[in-house]
Amino acid sequence: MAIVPMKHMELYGLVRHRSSFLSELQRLGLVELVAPAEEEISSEPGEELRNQLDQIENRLAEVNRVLAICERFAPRKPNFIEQFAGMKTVLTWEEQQNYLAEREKLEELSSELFKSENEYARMEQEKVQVEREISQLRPWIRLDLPRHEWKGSTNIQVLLGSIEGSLSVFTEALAQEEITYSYQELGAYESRLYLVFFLLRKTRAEEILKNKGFVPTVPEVPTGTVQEYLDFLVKKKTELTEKLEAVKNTIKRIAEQHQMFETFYDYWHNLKLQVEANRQLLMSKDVFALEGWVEAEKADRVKKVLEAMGLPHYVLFRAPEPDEKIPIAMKNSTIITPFETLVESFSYPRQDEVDPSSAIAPFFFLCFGIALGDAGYGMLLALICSVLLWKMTMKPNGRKMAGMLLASGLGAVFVGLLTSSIFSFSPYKGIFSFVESPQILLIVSLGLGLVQLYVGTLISAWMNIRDGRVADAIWKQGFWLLFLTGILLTVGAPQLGWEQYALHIKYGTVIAAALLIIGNTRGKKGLLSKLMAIPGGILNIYGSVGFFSDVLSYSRLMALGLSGGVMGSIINMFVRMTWGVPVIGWLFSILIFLFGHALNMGLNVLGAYVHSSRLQYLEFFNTFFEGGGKPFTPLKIENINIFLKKEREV
Amino acid sequence: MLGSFYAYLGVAIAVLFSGYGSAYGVGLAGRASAGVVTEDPKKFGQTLILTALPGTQGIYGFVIGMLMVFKFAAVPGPIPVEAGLRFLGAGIPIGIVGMLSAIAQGKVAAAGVGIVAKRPEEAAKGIVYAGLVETYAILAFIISFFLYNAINI
Repeated sequence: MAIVPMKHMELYGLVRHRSSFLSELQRLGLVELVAPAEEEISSEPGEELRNQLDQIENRLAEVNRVLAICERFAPRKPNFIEQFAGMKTVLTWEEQQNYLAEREKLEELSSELFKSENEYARMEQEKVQVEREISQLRPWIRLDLPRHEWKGSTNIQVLLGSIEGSLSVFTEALAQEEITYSYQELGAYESRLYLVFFLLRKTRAEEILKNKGFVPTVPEVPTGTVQEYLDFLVKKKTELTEKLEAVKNTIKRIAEQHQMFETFYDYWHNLKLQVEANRQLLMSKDVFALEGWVEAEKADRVKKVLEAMGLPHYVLFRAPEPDEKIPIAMKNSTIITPFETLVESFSYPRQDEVDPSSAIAPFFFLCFGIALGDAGYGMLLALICSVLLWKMTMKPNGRKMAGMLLASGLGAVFVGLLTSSIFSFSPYKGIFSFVESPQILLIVSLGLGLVQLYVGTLISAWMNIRDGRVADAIWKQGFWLLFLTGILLTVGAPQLGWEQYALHIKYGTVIAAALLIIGNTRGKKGLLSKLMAIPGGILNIYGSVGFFSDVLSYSRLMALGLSGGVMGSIINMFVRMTWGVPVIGWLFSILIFLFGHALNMGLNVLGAYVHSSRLQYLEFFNTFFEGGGKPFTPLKIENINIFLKKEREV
Repeated sequence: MLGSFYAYLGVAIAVLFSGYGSAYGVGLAGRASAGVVTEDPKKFGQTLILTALPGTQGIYGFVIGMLMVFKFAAVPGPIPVEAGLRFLGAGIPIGIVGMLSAIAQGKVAAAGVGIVAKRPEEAAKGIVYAGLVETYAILAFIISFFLYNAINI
């Protein structure tokens, strides 16, 4: 249970050395820089700094474009786990340095890639154009008249076009005017009939046809017959397709170097962070000043590293002032650390609060255990998470999450073994069974809730005592717990066989309630304001309803454990039923077992995680924790794509 | 005869309504998820969790229905009318609340998918929001279960 103590750091050095200092601090990753107060900033960031940033941003944008093109032409397929955890590239330090040394190769490859991509886009457009021409010529394919004949002769007019509907309308109209004509049908295409009319010139034929709805069209053929031109186009299309494939392969070949691009992306990204940090420096003509926070324990190490640089500087560490806002980092033992992820995704503690991780850990362990409630599922979950932790490269958050689920899976193993439930089979007699005695399960769930909320209230009392407000702890939390216990005993006395004490308990409860009301008037000056505080005190008493409804909320653990258990035994029943079927029964029953339990486990793990976290956030934190601290974010090297196998020794 | 009818009706209500609600809820969240995945296929994992959440109500209904079937299948002969009505009553909470909460949860999950799209690092919070809706389905499930548990034939 610990919020890491911080030390304030001030560093002075020469302006011309500032990049070295920043780079070293970034590599260390131990110092959070603080922007100087508004009124202390003497000048705008210099021209030089802005240029440098622009340059880096351009580089970053370029590599980003390269990576986007690589992803488009040669997408890397994430495996099942990577879909959840994201894709990472793992390099050794040497590999990374080798890549970074080949700046020219990067430039060369990127420009080749951009050229190829442009070419690809151009040819793709051309191909679309050709395809459109081909589809426009399709209806005319049976027109065997070459292009130069379409003009007709002195007396004969050649009219190309299409009609909709029946041809007889047109022929009859021509016949009515007694016009000599001839025509050739070229075939129907998309509900239009394409044809060519041969008409005597100097008649009204064309006009009549147009009036009836004939649409004259001249296909775009430069020379020769339609068929010849079409053949040419199809050949061109095939060529383009081949060329496109070739360019695509070139791009794919370049995309094989994605590790290099990613390395540079990360490099420039981190360089950008470092250069941006310049904004947090105070600078005079020759000297810069830097303010920041560092974990108290690590201060010496920072000091040593700075000294080892051999550059003139002056560094000063001091403890934070009482009202100074410090950034929050949590530190816990190895077993508790994974549970920090639950706190982080709620909110970081404020500096005057406690780190609730270690209070959460045992309760989350049990809540998750009851909600999942099966040793088989728990074991499987724990195994999966151990394999992930062992084999996968993950960011610290991912590791914490996997560790948390690993521990929680063991919680389910614990509960499952106690109640004898392994994949919903019950090989021996456990202390009780979820499915057979749900009442006990309900009592256990509520009991766990009661204990956890008491613990929360005690932590709240402890915080008061720590801060020297012992009276508050007694008046607020002490009598509160007394009052709640009184109510519980009043209700529970008959069950416990304590009837003879019933009256004492009742008086005790009433006295505790009275003390709570009096407690609310503490600190108020004058009789009137003391009296005014009494309704508030009564409202506090009413708060016990809220407390017990919070306890009732823990009944969800019973519901989750029970529905999972029943579902599991239904699956097992189907397995047993199909097992009896001759010949292939065993196959089906194995399939049902695997598929059914996989599905049931997935849903139950999800439910157990969601509801156990909810119980911590809404019910448990309600008693003592608000959060709202600012997380500690040191200037450090961020891994976006690239993870190093071994960190370089400092 | 009438007893059996009521008992069957109880099972039908438990399974039918909660199943309908879950299908609707998962459908809502699934559509939103599919939209996100068209833009960014790598978000499949996170959206899958949100899509699966409204599915639990259907399972609660199914569990209650199955338990009721086991109970009255074990008894030879016709089911008395009173027992039948009890089965009917036991099926109603998880049926109705399951349906409504699954639909509501589907809406919250679909909004949560929006968190995954824009701020994937905050996805856990979207999951917690959707989880809050589930409370009421759980309460209904518990009551349905205890009602069922109290039936003796």
